[in-house]
Amino acid sequence: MNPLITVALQQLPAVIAAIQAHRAQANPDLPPLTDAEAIAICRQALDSTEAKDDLWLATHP
Amino acid sequence: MRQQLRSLYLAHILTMTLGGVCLGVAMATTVASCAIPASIAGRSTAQLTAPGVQALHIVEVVKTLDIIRDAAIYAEVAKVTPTTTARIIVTAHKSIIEVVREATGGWKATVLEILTQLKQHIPEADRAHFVPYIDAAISVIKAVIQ
Repeated sequence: MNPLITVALQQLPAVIAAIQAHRAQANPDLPPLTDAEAIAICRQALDSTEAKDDLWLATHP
Repeated sequence: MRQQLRSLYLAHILTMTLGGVCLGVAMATTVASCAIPASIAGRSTAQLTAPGVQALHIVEVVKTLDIIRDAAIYAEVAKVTPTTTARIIVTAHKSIIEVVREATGGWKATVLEILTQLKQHIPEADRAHFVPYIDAAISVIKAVIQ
């Protein structure tokens, strides 16, 4: 395997962790997420992904 | 969207090419990212109670399952896999989403069963493309959703 690819793969988890840590920082000026909002986000995710399934299945009978 | 699918497919090719090393990194990354995020859109998730945490767990599991479905869709577009195989995977994905949506709790066992059966229903010629993704999703669900 190319040594550069090996190094990139070795460093990938650290890079991703750093990006996630940066993105995970909460803004203290914003109110915390409520349970109702989290449930709404979940429903939206389920609706969105199922709509994509339905669209693909409808166009590939 | 097309760009996202292309990235997924390139990641898939890379995974297939580099084998276990890349898959291991991908799985570790997926598992790590499946814990609920500390914040969403800058808003802290620290004060969520069990229903809120469970909802965000589902969101993360859906993201993991979407990787399988999206890889199948793009592989079909790229003529890497036949439409019949992609349909099997998309249909299974839809079934899982329905199970998660309608179950008030305890959907884990049913979803794991569907994923296990999905591996057996994928034609032999296409299994190598998708089984690693399915195994990764199974690992995520087992590890994160208690």
